[in-house]
Order: sequence, then C-alpha cells, then structure tokens
Amino acid sequence: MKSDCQTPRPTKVAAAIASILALSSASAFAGVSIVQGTVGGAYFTPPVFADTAAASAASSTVASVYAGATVCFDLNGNGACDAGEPSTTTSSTGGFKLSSSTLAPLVAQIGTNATNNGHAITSRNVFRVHSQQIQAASKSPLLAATVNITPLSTEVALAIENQGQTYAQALATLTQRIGVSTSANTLLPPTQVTNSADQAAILKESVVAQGRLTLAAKFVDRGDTVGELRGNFDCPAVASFDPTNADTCAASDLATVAIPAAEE
Amino acid sequence: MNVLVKSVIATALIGASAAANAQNTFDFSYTFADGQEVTGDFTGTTTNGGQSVTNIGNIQVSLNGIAFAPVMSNGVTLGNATLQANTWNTSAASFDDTTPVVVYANGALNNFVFSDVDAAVNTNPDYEFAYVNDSTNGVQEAVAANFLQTDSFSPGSTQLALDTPGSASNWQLTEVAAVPAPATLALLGVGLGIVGVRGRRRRAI
Repeated sequence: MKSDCQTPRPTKVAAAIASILALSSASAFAGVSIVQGTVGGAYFTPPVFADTAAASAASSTVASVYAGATVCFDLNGNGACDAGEPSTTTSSTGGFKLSSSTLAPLVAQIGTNATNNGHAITSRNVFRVHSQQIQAASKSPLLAATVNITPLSTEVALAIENQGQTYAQALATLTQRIGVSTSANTLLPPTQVTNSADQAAILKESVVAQGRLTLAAKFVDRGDTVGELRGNFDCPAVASFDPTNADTCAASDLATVAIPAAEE
Repeated sequence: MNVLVKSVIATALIGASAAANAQNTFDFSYTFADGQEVTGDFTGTTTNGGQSVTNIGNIQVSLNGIAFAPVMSNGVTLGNATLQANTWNTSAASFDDTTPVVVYANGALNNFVFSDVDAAVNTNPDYEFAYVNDSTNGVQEAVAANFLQTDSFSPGSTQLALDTPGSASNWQLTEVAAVPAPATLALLGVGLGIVGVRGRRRRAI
C-alpha cells in the first residue's frame, strides 16, 4: 500500500506550496484578456460520531460556489492578488467578470470573509487557473473566455508548471485519473456538471484538493520557508538535509519519501 | 435639346446620385444586463431604411459616458483616436479585415467589433466594443472594454461590460441625418454652376 502512494501525494503538496509561494512565473502572451466564470468547489461536512443516532450524522459533500472571493489576474506570478493587479469580487453565485490588458494566470483568494455555499470559511484557500487554460478557452482575446476557478483548475495549473505538461496533457491526465467521462466536464464548477457520475468524481477530487491547498495556505501563513517545507515533504529521509537550502534535496530523494503525517 | 434643359437633367441626375450614395449618421446604443451602456454613432450607407448599414466610418463610442479616446500617461499617449470596424467571420471564427462590416438594426444579426486597432491582426486594443452572434461557434457576446479608464461598475480593474445578448431591445440603431459625401457634393455644385452660367448667358443674349 505504501508504495502506491509514496511519491505523488507529497509531490502534489509540495507543488501546491510552491505555487502559493510563487515559485512559478506569470506567462507572457500578447493580447488583452477578458474572462468570465465561476469560483466553485465542494462543501464538505465531516461525519459526526455521537452516542445517540440522533446526534450522529454522516459526512456529506455538495457542489458549491464561493461568494465574496477575490479574483485577480496575477500579473507578477506570485500566486497572490496584489495592489495594482486587476481584481474583482465574486457575486453571490460565485460569478466574476474581469479584464486585463495583459494575459496572466488567474488567482482566486478565498478568504475568511468569503463564503462556501453560504457557509463561513474558517481557513483561507487559493485556487488558480493557468494562462494556457485561458488561451484554450478563448475564441479571440477581444472576446470573453469562460474560465472557472476550481480546485481542479489549480491541479491542472500545477501540472503545467511543475511537471512540464501542456494544458491539454494536464487536462487529459487529470480527467483520466479521476474517471470523468469527458474533459469538457472536468474544469466546470461542480454545480454546473449535469452528469451525476462525473459530478461525484469531481467532488471527490475537489475535497481532496481543497484540503491540500488549505494545508499549503496554512504553511504559508505560518511563515514556513521553502526549505523547511521541502525538507518536511520531499526529503524526510535525508538526515543531513539543510532546511535553509532546498537545493540539497536531490530529485532521487523523491522516490523514497514517506507520506508525512500532516498530509494525512 | 436645349443646352439649359440638358444641364437641368444632368444636375438632377447628379443630385439623385448624391442622394443614393449619401453617408448617413447613425446613433447606436447597447444596454448590458447590469445596466452599463455603450453609446455612439458612425456614418454609413443604407439602402433599406437603416435595417443594415455598410461603409462604416467616423466611429465614436462611449462606455458609461466615457469616450473611447486617447489618454496621456507619463507623457505617453495611449490609445488611438481613430476607431475602426472589423467583422467577426463566422466561418473562420475570428475577426477579419476583408469582409465588409455590416451593422444591423436587428442586434441578433450583428457580428462586428469597433476598436482602436485592426482586430484581425492586433489583439491589443485600448478600447473595444464587440457584438458577436455566432451560434455556429458558440460565441454570443456583447463586450465593451476600455483598458485605459475605470468606473464604479468595475472596481479593481478597468472598464468592462459583458453579457450574452438577450432582449433585442437592448440594441438600438437609429438613422439621424443624411450627410452627402464630399465628392458628390462637389459634383452637385458643379452641376448647379453650369445651370447658373447657362441662365446668365440666356439673359445676356
């Protein structure tokens, strides 16, 4: 069992952290960019175990939208919405419209002032869209591209940036891995997926991805350094690992990592 | 035939030609679902009472009352004062600069963009108003954006209005006044001059 999930999960966590810590750079493409879409994901409630059946409850996962989230074009590629970057706030339905004179990745900052399907958010999160996804959705830079910002769009962005995949490759890989029938559904907000089996698969992956991204955001907020994070996740078996110098973690170390308790 | 009569007939023909080729002025407006509004005007020719207009020129556009016009920033002029029109080619699913632009009174027929660039080759306009109804390619959008200006409708970014054209009444195209083209005006003047000269000669004789 351990060998099945050794490398991918820690690598994803590290990649998520890397993205939030702005280890990637903004793509520079010619042309203006106009986008519209929805910030969506899953609303998960854990099971409640109690002495009485009446007080107990099963877990539930429903498709959700994020209202009050900040969406911006991440012009400097630091994974955050900074002053001067075109930004807007999502509506009660999670919708947004935004334009920029420069094409750049999209970031949705879901703070504790936002809501998930009307429910308060206790720990912030960050979802992203790679600029390649915007280009793929665009018929013309002068017209609006419909682009949704979800946990899965973030996974695609990470695959493009950290695994060197193209947008098409990343989308196809994710679609196949989670068992969605068509890639046209994969990056829809779950609220807009009409195929029930696809929606269930997307929701399942969304819950997992949201958890990872929330954890990554917590590390960032805690002030962990890149070296510490990579030491924790990528090189736990290297006794001499220097947390102030992430480069000492060799690629070969990734093959032998154990899943850290924090990710569980 | 009497020379004077010939001149009168020639003048009438020139006048008729001038009327047929008249450049009319057309006002237009589009109201977006969120209340934002694009207004403007252009010159063009019509042969069907303004149901369709061609030879579009002298385009002026404003979004929420702010004109699509150049702006000075740090000593540099941004934006082009002259707006041009391009057609959205539904076969190619792109803007081109070869298909003549036609603006229709029926908004559902429109496929054009007004911007400060040739949208067929330049994807960096400073301002644009695109109105596209392309069911073939799934592109049905009205978009107005001014990347040089801000307003209260788009806090945090530059001006943007965007929706899927719905009610036909959102789009208005109105013929305002006939403006004879300079060339035909000159020809008409020449014709009238000939009539005047002939009349003076007859009186002198």
